[in-house]
Amino acid sequence: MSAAACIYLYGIVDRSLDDRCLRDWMLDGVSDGARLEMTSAGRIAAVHTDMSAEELSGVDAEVVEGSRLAELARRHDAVITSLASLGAVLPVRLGTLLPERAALATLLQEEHTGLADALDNVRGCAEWQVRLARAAAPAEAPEPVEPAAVAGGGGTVYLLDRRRARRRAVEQYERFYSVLEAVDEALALLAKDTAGPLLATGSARRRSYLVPQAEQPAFVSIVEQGVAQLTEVGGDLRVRGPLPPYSFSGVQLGGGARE
Amino acid sequence: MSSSTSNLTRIDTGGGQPRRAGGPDSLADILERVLDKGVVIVGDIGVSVLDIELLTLKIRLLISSVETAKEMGIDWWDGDPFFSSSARQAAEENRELRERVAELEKRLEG
Repeated sequence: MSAAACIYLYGIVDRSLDDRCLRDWMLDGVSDGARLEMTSAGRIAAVHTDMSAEELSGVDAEVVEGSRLAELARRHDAVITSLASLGAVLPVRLGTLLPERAALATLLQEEHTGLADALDNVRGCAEWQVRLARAAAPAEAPEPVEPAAVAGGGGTVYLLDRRRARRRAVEQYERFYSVLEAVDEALALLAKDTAGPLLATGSARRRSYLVPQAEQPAFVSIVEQGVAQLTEVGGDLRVRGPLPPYSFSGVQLGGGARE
Repeated sequence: MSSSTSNLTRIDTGGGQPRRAGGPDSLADILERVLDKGVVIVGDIGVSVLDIELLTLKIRLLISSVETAKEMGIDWWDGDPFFSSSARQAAEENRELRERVAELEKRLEG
C-alpha cells in the first residue's frame, strides 16, 4: 500500500453479514476497481474500500451530473442502499477516510459498544423522509362589511364575494395545518424515532421518520391519504422511502479518546 | 437474510400523486440524503482530505438549480450576505447605519 493509500468507509454492519454478497454485487465503491471489504471487531464490521487520498483531494463543489463529486455521492449512496437491503447498516458520512486498516481496527474495537448500540437502534427499520414542498398560503382575515353596504348594489356584491373568498382561503389554510398536524402525529406514532421538528409548526419543511418494517405498510397508507388530503387544500407533501437510516446514525467517533 | 427495506416497494410522492420510484434518484435527492448525515469520525484518527463541511455550503447553492433547491426547502442563502444580493445589500445598509450612529455618538460625546 502506498503512502497515499487510505481506507474509505461506507457503513457499519453486523459482522454476520455475508461478505460474499459484497463481491457478488460487483460494486466498485467510490474508487474505480476497488473492491468492497469488511473489517470486523466483536459483533460489528465496517464496509470499506481502498482509496488513494489524491482521488478525494481533487474533489470540488462541482455538483452537476457527471462531476466527480456527483459520482462519489452516487456510489456512496449505492453501496449503503445495497447494504441496507441485506440488513442493519449505520451509514458513515460521505468522504470519510482512515489512514490505514490498523486505525480502522482500533476504532472498531474502541467504539464497539456505541456502534453496536446504534446499529441495534436502527435494526429492522428504514428511514422515510417527508418534505413539505408547498404549504397553503396564509390568508388575510376577512374584512368586516358594513350592514348598510350589504343592501346596496354592485359594490356590495363585490365586497361580499371578496369576503367569501377570503373566508374560504382562511378555512383552507386552517384545514391544511389541521390535516398536516394529524398526518404528522399519525406518522410519528408509527415511527420508532423522528428527526426534525414537527411539520405543522409552520417553519419546518422536512422531517425524517425511523419506521420499523412491520409498520411500513401502515406508514405508506397514511402518507398516501395525507398527500391526497393536503393536495386538496393547496399543499404538496413529498415522501421518499424506504431509505437507509442516514438521519438516525449521528454517532461521533474518535473524539477525546486520543488526547 | 434479514432486510429492512427490501419487502416494500419504494415510493416517491410528488405533486399530489404518489408514484413508484422507477428511475434513479436525482443528484439533488442523493446529496440531500447523504450530506451532513451518518457516523462521523473526529480527532486525529480521520484523514481530513475532503472538507465536507465546506463542500456542503457550496453544494447546497449549486444543487441543479436554485429552483430545485428551494423546492427542496433549502433556502438558507436568502439570509446569508455572502450568497444573497438582497441580504448583502441589507448587511451593507446595516453597516452604514452603524457607522452613522457611531459618528453621531461621537459628536454627542464631543
